[in-house]
Amino acid sequence: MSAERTGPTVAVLVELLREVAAEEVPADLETSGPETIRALGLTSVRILEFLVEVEDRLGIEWGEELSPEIVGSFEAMAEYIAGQRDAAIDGRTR
Amino acid sequence: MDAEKIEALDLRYGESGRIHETADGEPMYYELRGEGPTLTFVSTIYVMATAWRNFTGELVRRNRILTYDLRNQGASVEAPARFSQHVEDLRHLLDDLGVERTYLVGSSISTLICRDFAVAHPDRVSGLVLTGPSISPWGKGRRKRIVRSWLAALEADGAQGLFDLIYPIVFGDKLVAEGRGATYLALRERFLAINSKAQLAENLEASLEASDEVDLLGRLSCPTLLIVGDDDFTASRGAALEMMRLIGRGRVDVFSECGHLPYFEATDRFESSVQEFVAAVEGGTLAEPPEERLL
Repeated sequence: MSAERTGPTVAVLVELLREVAAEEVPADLETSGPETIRALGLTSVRILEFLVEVEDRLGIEWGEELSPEIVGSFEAMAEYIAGQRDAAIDGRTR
Repeated sequence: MDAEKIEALDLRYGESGRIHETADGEPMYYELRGEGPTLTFVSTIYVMATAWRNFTGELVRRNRILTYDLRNQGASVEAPARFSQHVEDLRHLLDDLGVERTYLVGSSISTLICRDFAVAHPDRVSGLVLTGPSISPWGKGRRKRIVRSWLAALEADGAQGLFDLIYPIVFGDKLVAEGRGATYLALRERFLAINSKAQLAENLEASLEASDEVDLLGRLSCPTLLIVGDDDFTASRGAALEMMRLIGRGRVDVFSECGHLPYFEATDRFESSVQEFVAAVEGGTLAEPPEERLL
């Protein structure tokens, strides 16, 4: 996984999460490694608001096949989103 | 519980949480917010102390909201407990906080705790709110069969396997259809984050100890609000009406287009329903005989 590839998306994800759960996201938020989102202990309502915000702002649609590891980590989620975008570009340029 | 764990929980749970010491010296996490009649929300396996914040935003303006994690759940002591222990834990928590009387709000399996507490300590309960009650007015059989099937799924496929089994059952058709992937993922993420396979198994096993004696309903002396979704897989409108006939005093609110957890699927209606019930009990205006409302 490349930080260069996912870094900007991680930054956007953090910004969106702060928008929906400002009080629950610490200033020194850890974004590197597994379970960085899960460790925040967000309620299901907050997680849902965050995921919907990501869908709306980043133009993706969540499928139910995603593993818990992707939903629970900033880096893994960013990697997944980057993959979705690459697939969309491939589809358009084929 | 060591200081490092408490610090971690504080980060996760926020500043409104406190640790109560149970009668046997174990930590029990709770939150107490607002002023007015006390409404104690008894958590169930899907919903813990912190989550109730999302479903009590209006209620906390007029009431004192007490939420807590059951023994062997969330930030409370991580050790298996007999089901009857939850009643004793609740009594001790109320004593410690100086709460002489409270409304008890239960959901699904925790409605059994509310019922047992109200039967054992009728002088402590102003009213019961049983949401999607796991209580049959006809007797034993179904509830325990359901729990055993969930335990089998848990054993075979872990916590995610159990979640995949219960998600389309617990939530209503409308929410599952309209919620799409994001809702499934969000609820699954929270479910997996707060529940270990061992704790789920222990808590589901313990729930099998709860009594399904129908007579217990007739021993409830406080007014009772039954909230059921019209798409609830187990607490049907017919069952709720029969339960109310046995209880004798209260109200049945049936929520349209809702499954087993109306507070999640229709938070505004849930809060209004509870507030209207509390106001009617406090004001002595609860209708008799019991009424049914379609909301």
